[in-house]
Amino acid sequence: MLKLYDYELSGNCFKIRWFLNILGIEYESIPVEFYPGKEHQSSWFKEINPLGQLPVIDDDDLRLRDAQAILVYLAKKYDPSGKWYPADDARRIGEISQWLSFADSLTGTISSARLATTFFFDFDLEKCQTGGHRLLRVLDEHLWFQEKQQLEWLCGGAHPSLAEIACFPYIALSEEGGISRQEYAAVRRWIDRVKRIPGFTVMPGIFPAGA
Amino acid sequence: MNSLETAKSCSTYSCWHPLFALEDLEEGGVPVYTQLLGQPVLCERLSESKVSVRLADQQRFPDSQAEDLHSQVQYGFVWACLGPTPQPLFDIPEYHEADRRNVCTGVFGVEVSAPRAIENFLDMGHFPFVHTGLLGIEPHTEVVDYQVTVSNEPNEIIVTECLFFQPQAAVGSAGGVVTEYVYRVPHPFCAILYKSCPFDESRRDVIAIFVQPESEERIRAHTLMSIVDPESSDTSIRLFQQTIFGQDKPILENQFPKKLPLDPLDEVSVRADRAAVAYRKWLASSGIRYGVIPCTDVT
Amino acid sequence: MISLNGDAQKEWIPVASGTDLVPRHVFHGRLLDQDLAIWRADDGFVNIWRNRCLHRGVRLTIGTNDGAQLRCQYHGWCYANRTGSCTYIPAHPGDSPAQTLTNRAFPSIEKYGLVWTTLGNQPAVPTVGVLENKNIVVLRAVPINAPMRIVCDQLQQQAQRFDRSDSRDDSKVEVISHGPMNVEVRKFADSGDASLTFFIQPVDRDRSVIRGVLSSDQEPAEPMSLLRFFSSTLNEIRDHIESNQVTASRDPQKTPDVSSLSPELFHRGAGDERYAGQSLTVRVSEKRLEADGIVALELTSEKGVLPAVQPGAHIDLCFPGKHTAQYSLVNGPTETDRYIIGVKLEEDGGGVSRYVHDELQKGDEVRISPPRSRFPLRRDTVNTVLIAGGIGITPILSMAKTLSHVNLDFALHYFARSERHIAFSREVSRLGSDAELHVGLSIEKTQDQISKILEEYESGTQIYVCGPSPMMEVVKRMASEKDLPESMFHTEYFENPNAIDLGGAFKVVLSRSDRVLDVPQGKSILQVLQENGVAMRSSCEQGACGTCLVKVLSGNPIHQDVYLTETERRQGNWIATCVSRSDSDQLVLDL
Repeated sequence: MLKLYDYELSGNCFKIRWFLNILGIEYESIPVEFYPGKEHQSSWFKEINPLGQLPVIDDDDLRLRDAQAILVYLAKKYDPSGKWYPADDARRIGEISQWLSFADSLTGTISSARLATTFFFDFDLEKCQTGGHRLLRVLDEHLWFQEKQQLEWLCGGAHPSLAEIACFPYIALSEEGGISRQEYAAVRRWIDRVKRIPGFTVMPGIFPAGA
Repeated sequence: MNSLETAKSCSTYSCWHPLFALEDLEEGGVPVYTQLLGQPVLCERLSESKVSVRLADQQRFPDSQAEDLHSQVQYGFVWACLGPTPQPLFDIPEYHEADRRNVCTGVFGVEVSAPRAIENFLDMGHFPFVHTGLLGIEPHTEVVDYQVTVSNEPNEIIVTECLFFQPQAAVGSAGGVVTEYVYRVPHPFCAILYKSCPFDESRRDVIAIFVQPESEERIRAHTLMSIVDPESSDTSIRLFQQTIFGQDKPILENQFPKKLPLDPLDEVSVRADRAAVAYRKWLASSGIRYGVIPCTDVT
Repeated sequence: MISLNGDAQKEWIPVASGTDLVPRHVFHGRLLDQDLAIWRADDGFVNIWRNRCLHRGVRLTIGTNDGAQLRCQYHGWCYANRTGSCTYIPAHPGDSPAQTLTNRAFPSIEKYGLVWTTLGNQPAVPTVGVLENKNIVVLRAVPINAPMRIVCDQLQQQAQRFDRSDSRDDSKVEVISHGPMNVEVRKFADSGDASLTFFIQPVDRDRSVIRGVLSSDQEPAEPMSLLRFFSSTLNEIRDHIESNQVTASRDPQKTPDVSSLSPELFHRGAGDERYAGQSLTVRVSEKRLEADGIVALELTSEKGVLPAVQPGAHIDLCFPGKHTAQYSLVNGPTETDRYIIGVKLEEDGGGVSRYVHDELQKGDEVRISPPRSRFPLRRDTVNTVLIAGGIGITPILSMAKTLSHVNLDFALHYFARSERHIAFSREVSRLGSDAELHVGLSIEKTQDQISKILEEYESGTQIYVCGPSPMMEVVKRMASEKDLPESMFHTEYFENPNAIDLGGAFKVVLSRSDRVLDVPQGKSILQVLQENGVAMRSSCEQGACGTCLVKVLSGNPIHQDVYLTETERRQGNWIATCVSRSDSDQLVLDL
């Protein structure tokens, strides 16, 4: 059975739990106490991922770190529809990769702000918040223009992609780091649409959309 | 009135307040900063169980030998009092039982006042909506009448006969059952929950929240689990409580005003809020002014 | 609350685009430091509410919009479309929330593709001449971290950026200022007769939103390219303004200091004024023959919104010279713009039903009471059984619609004398397989059917029954024979089938005023109270509706009503003053 090194309150781990739920894949969750235990920096975990970061999966003999990389692997291997990551469509996977990198920037800004305010990590809070707002502004404008073209998702096409999975969690948790989404109306609508994707699951800090 | 003056104007000044879980401080390590009642304080763990806490002005005198504050280690936490004559800290006898698992779950920062956090801790009506599938589940939303008493000696609020249908009440239990809770508020910013222990019906698990007011509208919430559970690991005990707290955080941070309004006309209470109503009255009659919006005086 | 100038509070100001308010979504607006929850119901109505649940102050913008109500995320309190009234409190599923629990609402108008509101009283609707009768394209709104006045000034100064032509120096861009919140720009390059109108929405003292609208006679040839151009130009202007601004607090989570409260900030419900007095005037917007002897009326208000309806509620219909009569509302949660009732012709009634059938016309005015909710519906049950007989379908149908809307399991059993007697058949059939019709059954067959329904009872089910008294008595008798718990059984009698005995004299003591009144044989407590100047509400005056209930502090009531449950009667804490009497020499009442 697929193993996931997991922490309940991590947005990056949530991406994997969520996508596995969409794909209907059973997995074993191995808790790693990120906080307060800092278990991700322990020697036993560093043998699993020398970067000391979550999530990591073990699937048969493959061990993968990095949420975005894991998503790509899971999509290619387990999504028969090929809709989450259409590997043959150069244009689309180019777009998706853009947003996977954007998700990394979100981790470095919005997620860090949340770690600073909630778990007292020593980050420059104001810098993280300013960075987060800059990204949300870009995202809001992008989504507004998508809506104008009757597109509901980050990339083209009628179906959500890995871009949604990668970008959603930290954006949805942004307010925990003091980054309000009040002025990002298009982002707020996108959040509702993402919550309604079949197979959506929650994590602490994220509430389900209504019917 | 600034934060410190507000604190000094009421009994919060002579209360003990939690700062750190002792295990989070390195013995003989570098002193660590935190904020209490609007004041930066410096905390140092001198030996296994000895600590020192002092006021410090972080920007101007980073290593200042400012005056020592009253401090103690209790229930696994470092407590400090800003004022000169601290009142005695409340008692949790269960903590000292030999087979208890005493676990600190890790402190959470929340942008809200301490009294709002306490009131949330006392509330059951939100279980099906905020802790869905864990502490409550729709459509079992009814809060039946329960009892509230305020005792004088010690001056505490006790809430009993709280019954609620829960799908999974604790990390060691399975299935759903009507759980009985007892709540106790022995301190303006601390509350304790007693619930039936799934491993031994005759005893009760204890979950306590000790709220450190960094300022009137920002807190560090410390949680102590003092439970009878021979099976679960410390990590899994912590993770369950962290999940619960992580679900409460966005609710608390979306409450306005952040300070707790004490005037009963400011917010609508229903019968399910008996404990909250009693808590607000208790704060008002105790003269607490920190983190609250006092009743407007109507002559 | 800041006021940029007193006038800004009174103006109509756009706070969203119409297209922002998508279905099943709650938009987070903010105007002059007032946080707003803005949502469009499925019927199109735009609600603009103060963004604060009345219970514990949680933002309604983190709640959910189910098309007809907004549900708070904290304790699930439900607030109805249009009225803003709380219609359900999950912690107390058997109670009806007081109608005073109403959100502070602000008016909404959609015009020129934008959604407008005003924080003050502004009767006239916004009119912008240059936008009237034009083709409108709403630009992307640009939030900006700068105060309104600076944005307004800068927009005028930077307007030449809207000129797409190469030589900006020869720009012929015309800028017209229409006040601190409205800037018009014309003659930007080859715009022809098109004009840009910018509304500057003051969010708070440090932030604004630029809401631009392009108006022209014809639809633009390449709207997307225009939208992108204006979006990027406004971004440039925004960046220019912001770089010259001292960085203000970014965090709108901080509210202004509320320690010195304006009472308005915690005003519990602007709806209070609506319910002053006990009657409303409505107009008959539709009258139709629903079934044999049953007329359906739809009633609408010309003056603002009708008070919220909870399932099972009823209104009083008052006609001069006739007795008041009560009618249950058939409304479901999505029907908030009118009241729907079914009126059965009663041969020996007080004339109201005869008047409604024979004389009342579409367009007539009617005096009614606000809805009273004495037959509330629990929404905390896994399964609900609804039994309706004849005209009893009216409250039962509103319950079915509510349960259907919130996706709770239920079964509706509707007993009707014949096909011709089936009322609201379209709505019943919309319930699909959840509704079962039992038509033309004999008394024995009806009893068999009811017995069968009650046989299938499972623990946790709630049963609601409304119909002719004989049917209700049968159901009650069978339920008691089968030992079904009283607490799961809810009935509404339209009339009290029992004979009322007004015998025996006694005294009542009014505890709050220390008055003692004699209640002689032949007079009800209610009559005596009213004759002695005690303000008492009443409706059916036969012990069926619960309106005249008074708390009993001591004494032994003799209950002759059909409203209180057996348990409530035994506890003796309440008395229906219109019919009930006293076993003891006196009753002490909480009046």
